[in-house]
Formats: sequence, C-alpha cells, structure tokens
Amino acid sequence: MNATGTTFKEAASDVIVNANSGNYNAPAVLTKEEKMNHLLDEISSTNREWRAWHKMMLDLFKEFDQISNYSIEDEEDEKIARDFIDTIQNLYKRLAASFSKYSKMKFVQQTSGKCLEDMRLIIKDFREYQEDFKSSFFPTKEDKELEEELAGLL
Amino acid sequence: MEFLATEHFVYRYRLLLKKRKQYGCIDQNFRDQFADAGNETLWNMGYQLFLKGMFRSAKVRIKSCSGHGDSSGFRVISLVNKETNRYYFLDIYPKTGKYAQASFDKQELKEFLIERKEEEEAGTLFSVEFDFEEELVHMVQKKLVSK
Repeated sequence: MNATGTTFKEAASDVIVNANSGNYNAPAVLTKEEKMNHLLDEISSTNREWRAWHKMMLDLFKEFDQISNYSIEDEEDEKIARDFIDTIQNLYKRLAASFSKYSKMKFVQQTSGKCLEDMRLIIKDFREYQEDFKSSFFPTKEDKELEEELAGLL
Repeated sequence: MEFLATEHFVYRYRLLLKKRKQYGCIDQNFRDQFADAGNETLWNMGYQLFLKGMFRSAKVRIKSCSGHGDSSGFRVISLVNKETNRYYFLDIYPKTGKYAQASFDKQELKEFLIERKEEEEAGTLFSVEFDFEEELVHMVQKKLVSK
C-alpha cells in the first residue's frame, strides 16, 4: 500500500481495465479522402482528440511512476504484476501497428507529422517502462546482486 | 529540501545548455519540475529505481523544449535522503537530439552513487539554487558539511 492508501492491486488493475477497454488507443488519423470531406472545425476537433490522447499518455506515465513504488509481496501481487507488464506490451504493440499503418500513408506524413512523432516517442516510452517494470518486479540474480552493491554505496 | 549535484551532473547539464537551439529550455523546465515541489512530492517523484531505508533513487521525466511533452524531454537520475532532506542530482540526459540517450542502464547507477559518496565526503558537491528573477539555475561548488 502506498501513502494514499491505494493497494498495488487497485493501482495496477486500473491501468489494466482501461487498456483492455481500449481507452488508451490512439485516435484515428484521417486519410486524404476523409480529410477533404471534413469541414475545418471537424479537423480541429481531430487535432484536439490527438492532444487529449497525448496528455492521457503522459498522465498514464505518471501513474506508472507511482506504481513503481510498489513491491511484490505475494503470489496474488505476482499475478497482477505479470498481467500489468503484459498489458503494457499489448498497448505498445497495438500502437506500433497503428504507427506502422499511418506512417506508410504519404498524406498523413505530410499533414500529421507531429502526431506520428508523438506516437513514435510514446511507443519508445512504453518499451522503456516495460523493461523497467520487468526488472523491478521480477529481478534476475544479477539485478539482486546489483541492488546489494547499490545498498553498500549509500 | 537541499538540492545538490555531482560534478558529472553539472558537466552534463552545462553541455546541454551549450546547445541552446535544441535544449535551451532546460533551465526553465528543470526549475519548474523541482523548485516548488514539497518534500513528500520530491520523495515520490519519478520512476523508482532503488529504495533502501531513507534513500530513494529515481528516474524523473522533464518536459522537452519542442512541445512534444515529456516523452522527448530529459531524464534526471536522482537520489533523495529523507533523513537529511538532501536531494542529489546524479545524471541528466535528453531523449532526442545530439546527446540523445535511449535508456538508462542501472549498472551506471553504481558509478553515480560512488561519485556522490566521494564528493560528499570531500565536500565538493555543487549546491543547486533556483533563481526566479534571472530565470536561471545556479550550480555552485562550495564546501558543504557532510551529513
């Protein structure tokens, strides 16, 4: 449990449920044809959606930072931690698939370069978090040895 | 909280400052992240890399200069001592640009902790002060009492 009284199960489950419900999915990038048929305000609204999604991702990373404070206490925590790490992996794989699709569209490249760049960076962050969580929640023998060494350097 | 930095951190920070075009916002974004944060916020800030007793080491995300949010910003490797209320800056690296670093290898933390310990014992750590009037971050090497 952390300082706010939230258990690891509650904190991690929140992320898992949201991810499985598709709440973290990136908004669609409009194709040329769709964009041509849209009025200006509708395009702006799509930009707003992108900004909102980007902010949601940054807030999610803040949640990840908080979840990093938990340690695995028992088998139930271990199961949740595995689900949690798998969820992060699924999220970035899904994002990577969308990125790959969008980045092949020339029109999208020309008009939505910032969206694509945001997406690329977010995917990299997800990978980094996944690696960090793996090593925090399921430390290898080397990780444990390093922890002991670090403790002696304080 | 008293903010301190190792020589390595100051070197890296000043290197980034020299690349004004890419990293010119660093003073402002660094100050915004740390200057007004309370002790509890500072203790809990960032991704926890290591926790031992009254010490916590973390990787803290700092906003970028390009408007792409924290993802393309900087990462600060820190160490907090809750007992002495000292906050140590150990390393900083950008995620994009000339000095971009993709990730942080925890093995490096060993080196940074050794530096921190040696410099604290020798009294050569830098004091970090946030100057709101001049909008600068001052890092001054002065003899500090080891706690």
